[in-house]
Amino acid sequence: MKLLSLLKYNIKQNYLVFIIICGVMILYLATIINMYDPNGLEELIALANYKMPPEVMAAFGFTIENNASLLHLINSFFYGMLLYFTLIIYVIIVGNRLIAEHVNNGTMAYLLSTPNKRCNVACMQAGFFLITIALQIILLAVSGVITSEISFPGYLNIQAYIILNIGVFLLFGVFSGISFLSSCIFNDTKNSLALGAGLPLAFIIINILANVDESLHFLRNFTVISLLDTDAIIAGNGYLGKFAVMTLISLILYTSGIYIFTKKDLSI
Amino acid sequence: MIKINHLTKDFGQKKGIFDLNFSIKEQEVFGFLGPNGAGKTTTIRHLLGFLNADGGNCSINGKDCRKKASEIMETVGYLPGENVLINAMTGSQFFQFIMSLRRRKDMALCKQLIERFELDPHTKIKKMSKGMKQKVAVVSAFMHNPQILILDEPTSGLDPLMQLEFTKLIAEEKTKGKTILMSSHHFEEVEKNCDTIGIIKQGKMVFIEDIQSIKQKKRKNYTLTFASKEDMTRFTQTTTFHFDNMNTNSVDVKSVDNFDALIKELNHFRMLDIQSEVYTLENLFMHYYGGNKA
Repeated sequence: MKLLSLLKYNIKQNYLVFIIICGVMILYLATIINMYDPNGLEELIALANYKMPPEVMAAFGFTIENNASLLHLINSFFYGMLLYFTLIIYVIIVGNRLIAEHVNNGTMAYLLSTPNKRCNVACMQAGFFLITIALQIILLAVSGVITSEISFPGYLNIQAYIILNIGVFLLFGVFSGISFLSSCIFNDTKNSLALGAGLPLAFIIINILANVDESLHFLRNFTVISLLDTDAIIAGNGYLGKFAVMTLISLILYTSGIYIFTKKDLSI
Repeated sequence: MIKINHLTKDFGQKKGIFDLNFSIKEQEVFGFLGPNGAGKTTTIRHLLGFLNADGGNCSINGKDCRKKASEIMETVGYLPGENVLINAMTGSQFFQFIMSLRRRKDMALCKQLIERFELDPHTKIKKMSKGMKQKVAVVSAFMHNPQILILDEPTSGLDPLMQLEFTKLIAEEKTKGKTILMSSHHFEEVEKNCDTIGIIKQGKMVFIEDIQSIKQKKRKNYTLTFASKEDMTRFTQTTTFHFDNMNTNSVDVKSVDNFDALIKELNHFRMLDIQSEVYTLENLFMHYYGGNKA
């Protein structure tokens, strides 16, 4: 591979944040799976309601029925919001590093004074980003299945759970696309972070607000998270169109990022 | 070899480069001078293909610098003016990293250069001094034996001994037939190393000449001081030499190509002093660097 050493550098630079985020997610998920009770979730719900007012519960996506399935629990207590807040940290940190940081501190001058096309450098960085995010979600999904099968064998709808994870990957394709595009547009990390972190976080926060109260449901029209229709995924149909839309958005974001980086002025 | 053709890049507020034209022949060492912000680095960034020109173009070996950047880089060694290395690496890790991006394996020249510049390659770049970092940059520009060298202030931060070593290195590369563009603020360095000098000011090339003819021109101006005003007036009325800057009893004579004729002419006057103008490169540069004279 032409840019093998850049790949090695990326790995060396980012493995720590990868492991931390991945570890936190896996531990969180295991904890939540073990809250499940096949005989009903009255106790858990009562406890949660005792600790937090219903608005907060709703905002965080913790809305389940007494007889909810294990998948419902996982979806509502982890994939509802906590997952976004952990994985987005990886996206923000790494996205900024991949292009903008090299331009901001000038090391891009060294990368591009070697016989490598800008386009190839950008493609390598984009590929690294998407593959490591996929890897995070694969590890998470596998750990989720294993934990469920150990603690509550047979209770998890594995097929729907995997589709849910594919949906999460597509959603993070969009988030990371925003972060990557912003990393390609801006020459300094400050601006790259402002857009690359700001916009995905705004989407997540809008999603929280939209869940608080009926009157705020309209906010769902303003966040890409609505494209991850978990009810449809659990029901088993009606999600493919939204998946396609997310795929298309990520493709547009990534290709425009690569195109802009290939064409722009670099003051390095 | 290197051709810059009506190159224009306007950053606004008179910053940038404007209709820049010059070319560097094969095996020529070109010294690129100019005050800070004059457009040296901007020009170099165009040569590296980092910037899109607003007008004109530049090429290396007939290839357009912006469109064929990656092909051109096969034969180019570059030393950036803002020298930022990858802090997390040691010197030798950095060299390995760059060499593998160049898809080259032969580290022999790199080792030679490390020894030559007395560099400790196992120190983390983060912990290196400015001069050490500059040495790393020098080594990584030369280590793959490139045919063309583009060096943006290569000796900044180097101690005098290492500057000397660098001068030797340039001389050697020159005999190997390399084409070199180097920007600098050191007049002596340029005088020692370069064949041709170009001075850029406010984005325009204000002076370009080969160093031999500059040196020849050096001692051709004289300030003559006469014993009286009458002597001077008589001289100015009769002389065939080009003169200006008349004072009460002194006058500057310019571009003298026959010193003997001047002396014989002056034989007819009472003289107090004759002074040859110390026309160093520094004078020349200062003329273009400073103020609004240029």
